[in-house]
This record gives sequence, structure tokens and C-alpha cells, in this order.
Amino acid sequence: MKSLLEVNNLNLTFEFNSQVVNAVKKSSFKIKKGECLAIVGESGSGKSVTALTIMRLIRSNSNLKISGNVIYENEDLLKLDESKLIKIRGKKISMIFQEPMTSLNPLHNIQKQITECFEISEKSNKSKCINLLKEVGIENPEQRLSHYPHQLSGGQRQRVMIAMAIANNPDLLIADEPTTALDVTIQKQILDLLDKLRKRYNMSLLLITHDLGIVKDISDRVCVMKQGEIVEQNNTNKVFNQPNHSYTKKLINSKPREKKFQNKKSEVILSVKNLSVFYKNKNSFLFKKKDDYFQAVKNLSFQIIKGETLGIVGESGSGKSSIAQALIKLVSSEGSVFFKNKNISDLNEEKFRPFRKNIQIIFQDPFASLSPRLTIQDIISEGLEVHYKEKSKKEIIDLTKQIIIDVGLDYSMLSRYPHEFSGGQRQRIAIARALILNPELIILDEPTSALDMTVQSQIVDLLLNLQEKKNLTYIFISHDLKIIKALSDKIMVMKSGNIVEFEEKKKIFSRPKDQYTKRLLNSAYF
Amino acid sequence: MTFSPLTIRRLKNFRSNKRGYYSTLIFCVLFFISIFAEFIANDKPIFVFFEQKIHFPVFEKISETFYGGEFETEADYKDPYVRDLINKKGFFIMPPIEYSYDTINYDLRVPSPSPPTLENLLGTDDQGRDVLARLIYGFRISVFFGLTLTILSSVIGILAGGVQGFYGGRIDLFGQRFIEIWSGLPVLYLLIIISSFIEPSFWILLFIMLLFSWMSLEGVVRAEFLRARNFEYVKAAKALGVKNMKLMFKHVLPNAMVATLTLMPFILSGSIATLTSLDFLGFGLPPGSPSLGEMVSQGKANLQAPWLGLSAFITLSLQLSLLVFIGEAVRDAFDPRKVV
Repeated sequence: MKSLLEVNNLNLTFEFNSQVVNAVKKSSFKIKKGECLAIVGESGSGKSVTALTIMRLIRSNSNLKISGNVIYENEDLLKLDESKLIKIRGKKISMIFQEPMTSLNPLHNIQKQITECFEISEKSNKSKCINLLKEVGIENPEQRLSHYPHQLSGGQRQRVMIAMAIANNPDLLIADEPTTALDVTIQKQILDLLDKLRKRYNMSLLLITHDLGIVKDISDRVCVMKQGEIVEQNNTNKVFNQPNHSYTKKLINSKPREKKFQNKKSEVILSVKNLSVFYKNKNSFLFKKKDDYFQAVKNLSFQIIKGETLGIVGESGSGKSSIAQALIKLVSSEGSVFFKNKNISDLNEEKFRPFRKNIQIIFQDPFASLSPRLTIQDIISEGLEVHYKEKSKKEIIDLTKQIIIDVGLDYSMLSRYPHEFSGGQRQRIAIARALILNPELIILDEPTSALDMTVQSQIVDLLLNLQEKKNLTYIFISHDLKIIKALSDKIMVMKSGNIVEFEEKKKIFSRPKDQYTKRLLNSAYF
Repeated sequence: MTFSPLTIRRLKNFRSNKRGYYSTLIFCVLFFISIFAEFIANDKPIFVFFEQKIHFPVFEKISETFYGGEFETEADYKDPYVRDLINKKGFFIMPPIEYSYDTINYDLRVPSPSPPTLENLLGTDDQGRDVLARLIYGFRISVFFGLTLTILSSVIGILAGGVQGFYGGRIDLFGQRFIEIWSGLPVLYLLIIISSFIEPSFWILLFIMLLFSWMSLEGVVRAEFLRARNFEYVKAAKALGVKNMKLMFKHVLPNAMVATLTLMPFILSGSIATLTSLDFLGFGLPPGSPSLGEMVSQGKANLQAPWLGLSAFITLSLQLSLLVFIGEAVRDAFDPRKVV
């Protein structure tokens, strides 16, 4: 069978900070008609750059050098001029981006955005628009036409993006991390949709992802990329069953280690009764409306035993992060929280401060949670300066050196700034910052979601080691069941502010009671 | 002396902006010269050696009788009679420019304003005063005025904006309404009215300008604080138990720094330009004081004497450009994402 698109010896270098970066190294691959090819790799492996080069969307600066060729219908896309490219982009080859929040224009309604890619004669073709929306599974498409992007959920936005991409029946659809920003259950729906559309229209799909798990069911062939190089290229089955390259093996086996040890004592460290979190919907100064509140967490009660890990699972908007922030008083809440039998929910900031060193939090995005203007030394030692004022400068420096080795980094890094570190290293720094206060309870709010698969398992490893060594208690919040499964003793499944199911890990995974839990388990790729 | 790595990085960033770096060097030289204006352009000697004793007439008032003259008023060192008296029992050194900003040259061969000569390098103005001497003194006053006003209004603007942005809510609401009203007041009319019944001195002008100029920074700082208070690292610091004050200064303020430093050169040049324009209109510093604005207005009144307008124009434009270039380099130095 003839191939639809051929990429031969694609090589791409650009200059960044006066360093030459070879982003794609002599890569070659082919996509046949109707086939799904997946490119898998970690961040920085050059997979998105490859996709952008095919579309010629890569920003050209003087130091950008591209060699090789991309053959589509006997023409080299890299040599076409802009006027010919326009006839291919969006018509023959179209693309879906990772972030549905930012790839739709917030100022235009859905109809306008979809009709934008129609032929001029069809500009006012409303029924075609509705059909497209139906095709991608949007309910009430007639009403949706006049809606704006902010009125849609993340999954719906991605569906609209797909509708725009398939509007002109393209031969090839490039999907650059189409589900990374979405919840697990929605991720499954979107992938199913892409697969369905591919078969119906007999189009080819180039799926770019960092998640090997989702590739397994949907793609025919897989390219594994590492640092700009395609290290392995084969049928999906072969890649999974007989991986050749050591890096592929590492990716496939990068499942996190599971928690084995258990704590004997059963002393309750944290007990929560009737916790509720409200958010004001509208802030009017003079006229207070009644009942204009959004209840993010609804009357929750639970207990955590020292040395255990409580995993909280739920989709975005289920109130998981609100619980975390309410426990450490970053948002105001109602109900009572007992830390070691002391009620901490009524304390004011001044009286609560001593407890802060016992309860620490680690945030999701290690790029946002470290101040870009402080050195690592300053970031880690900040808590010490608040809680241990009597410590001398030398003691503080010694302690930070100790803790940075504990989290697996080197103390020569202390004088550097966060932007010089990778995501995994940054998350280790964030862990060090929390750990230096010797907390008993650490709340981890999606600490691995922003990280690559192999780095995720390293962080999970680190967390488990630390828990064993220091007898820590974790509240682990995530939407990723794989990680939750590895770390937790008990699991709490949440949906729209309520606890759906709260059970031992084994029971949840072997005999889920609730319908929602079952759906969650089904849509997870292990 | 040891610097923290942060300071070294900033210095490196600063130096990598060549235009800003050389502007700083030139500006420092000019400013240094103008600080010692009394020793460079003065009608009194820098140094007098008289009867085996050293005197500094710049700092002390010495009467003519002290040197053996007739009058009890301060000695006029330009007078050949006084010069002879001193040379009899010692010697004196005059500064390179033998005129202060208010010294009138009575020995002009042409009616003032007189064109440049060897004696008056840039000529004299319409009252026979040396233009170069007046430029040096005028430069000093306007730089001092600009710097003081910028620093004070930044401090007030950052504090007000920071408090509003960080706490938000009602404080912010009332603060914004106050600013809306306050910024509606016409500054220029206010200055004109005030200068009609008191003679505005340097400090009174500074105070009145300060009342209004702090608002230019307030908005940006408030916006940055509003944005940054929800950053995860600010939340993380709050979870560590860091107090509000420290949160504001250590974590949130640095975010507002780039925005602040971007505006600062413009505030600086703006305040210098305002002082100049007030002087030009005649509502600024008291008559007789050396000011660039007054020289511009003289240049306008005496178009036949282009040395007046040209000197004032070149000095002003050089001064403002240098300050803006320096401001740009400082901003680059504080930008954490800037790569050298």
C-alpha cells in the first residue's frame, strides 16, 4: 500500500541561548492511508517539533535549519511556498493541539470558529456545522453554536477542535497530545472518538503523546523518540511485546513501585468532620445575594491513620484540591479538623502557624510552585526561618544540605535558580522544602501530573522511601489511578464534592461498588 | 568584597546591555562633575593660600578687609585689586570656569546675550551670565529633582499598590475609587495657583509633584500583586507559615519589580521634563536659580542667540536619553528570564 506521507531524514537544529540544539535527528517515518501512527516520547524528545515541521508551523528564525524532506502527494512540503501550503493546511492535513483552553479563540462563538475553516461558498452553512458537532458527539449542537468557548468543558472544547480539524475531510489528522489536559474518563472518550472518525473517513492519524498506555489500543504502529531520534519503530504489538531498544523497555516498564510496607500502630493523626468549602460566585459590594455560593466540598468526614497514605481520586472539579487547601487553611472552610485530637479548624492564622510545620503541602506544577527569583537554598530554608528562628545560619545551611541529599539531589545545586532544573528535579526541591520542617502529614496535590512517565515513577519511589524512613503520613491527590494504586493504603473516590466510595485499596480495585468508580477504573489505562 | 550569585548575575546582565552600560558611565561622569559644580564653575577660588594659612572660599565667607582691602563685604575675587592683594602675601587657584550660575560678566564687549568666546565657552545669556556654568548647575538640580521624585513616588506607589493588590476586597475597592478622584485633579492648575501666592522652592515643588506622581506606578504594582497572590509558590510560602509582610516583600514584590523598573525610567524622565516645562512657563523654581527650563525660554526669546537654545536642548536630550537607556539596562538586569 502506498504511503500517504513520507518523512525522510528530517533533521532540525535551532539556536537557543547561543547553544545549538539538535531537536530532530535524521528521523524517517511513513504514514499509510487510514493508518494510525503514534509518536511516543518524553518532553523534549522532539515529537511536537516534528509535527509542527510537517505542518510548517514552526516559527522560522534565522538560526533554524531544517534538512530532509516531507513528501505528501509527490511534493515536498518543506519546499512549498506559503500560497500552496494554505491549500494543504486545514484541508488535507489538519491538527489538534494539546491545550483546548487556549487553542480556541475566547472572543468568537463556536459557529464562527468552525465555519472559519469552511470553503467560502459554505461559510453560512449552518447545517454542516451542526452535523460536524453531532459527529464529534456534542449534545444539543443547535444551541451550542452560539456558545463561547468558556461555556464549554475541557472535553467539549477538544471535541470542537476536532470538529474544526475534520471539517474539510483531511487525509491526515495530527493530534499533538490531544488528551493530556483532560480527565481520565474524558480522555478515553476523546480517543475513542478519534479512532471512530479515523475509521469512518478513512483518514490517517498521527498521534503524538507521552503516554504509552493510551497508544496500545488505538495505534497501528509506534515510533519511540528519544532526544530527537527515533529509537524504535514497529507495529504496536511488537513494540509492547518484544521491545528492542532499552529505552522502549524503560518506558514500558516505568510503572511505579507499589507500597509494600505497612504501619502497625493505628493512631489517628487527622480526623475531619463535616468539612465544607464554599466559593462565592459573585462578589457584589452593596447587594449581597443569598445562596449565591458554589459548594465545592460537601460535608465530608474522614480519618487518616499515622503512617498511612490516603489517596483521593476524582476528576477535575470534584473538590479534591479544595480539601487540600482547606486542611491547611489556604481557603476558608466550615466543619472541624482535628490534628492529633486538637481542633485546628477554629484557630486563627497566628495560632495555626505552629501547626503549619506539621502539615505541609506539595503542589502540582513544580514550575509554578518555586519562586523564580530565589535560589534553591533560599527556597528550601524559608520554612526554617519561620519556625526555627533560633537556628544559626550555619545550622540552616547544614540542614538544607542534608535534606537536598535526602531527596536525591546534589548540594552544589543550592546556589542555582529553579529555571535551571528539570520538572522532576524541581518537584524534588518542592519535596525538600516541605520535608525540612519534619512534617508528620504531607498533602500531595497531583505532584506527578506535570511530569514524564519515567520521572513520575522516580518521584513515587522517592516518596515511598521517605515515608518508610520518616514514618510520614500522606494525603495523595491525583486523577491518575496508576499512581494512586502504587502509593495508597486507602482510597477515596470523589465526585462533585461528595465521597463516592471510601475503601481499602484492594477492595476498590477488586470489587468497586459504585457505578462511578467502575467507570473510572474502566477508562484508566494501566 | 563578595557579592551573592544573584548580584553577580544582575551585574552581568547589566553589562551585557552595552548601550545602557556606556550610558551609565557617561552619566556617572557628568553627574560626578555636576556634584562638584562649586569647584568647577565658580567666581570664588577653590583654594587660597594667604599669610601661611589655607582657606576655602567656597565654604567660608571671607571679607575683603581680611585680605587688606577696604570693604567689609565678601571679597570679589574677579576684581584685579583683590587679586593683587592676595598675590602679595600668597596665591590662589581659580576653578576652570571662573563664573558661578549667577555671576554676571560685566566686561562683555558686545551686549548680552554674547556669543561664545574663550572666556565664556558657550556664551552668556541675556543677563550676562555664563551659559556653561548655568548648564552645570541646572543639570545637577534637575537630576536631583528627578531622582528624588522618582524614588519617593515609587516607594509610595509600590506600598499603596502592594497593599491594595495583596489584600484586595474592600481595601482595593476604596483605594481605587480614591485614586479615580485624586487623578482627576488638574496638577498644572494646582501648581499655577500655588505658585501665585507662595514662591515655590525646590522642596515645595517636589512635594506637590509627589502628591500626584505616585499614581503612575500604583496601577501596575496593584495588578501584579493581584496576579501574584494566587501563584502557587506564594501559596506554598503561605503554607510554610510565612507572614503576610514577608510574603509581600519577598515573594510578590519581585514579580512587580520588572513592571516597576520598566516604568521607572519614564517616571524619571517625565519628572525632569515636568520641572523643565514649569520653569519654561515661569511657574517653577524661583527666579535666578539655574534651570534648564529657564534657559529654553531664554533661547525662545532670543532666537538671534542660538547658543542659548542649542545648549539647553542638547543638555536636556542627552540627559533624558542617558537616563532612559540606564533604566532599560536596569530592567534587563532584574529580569530573571533574561539569558546572557
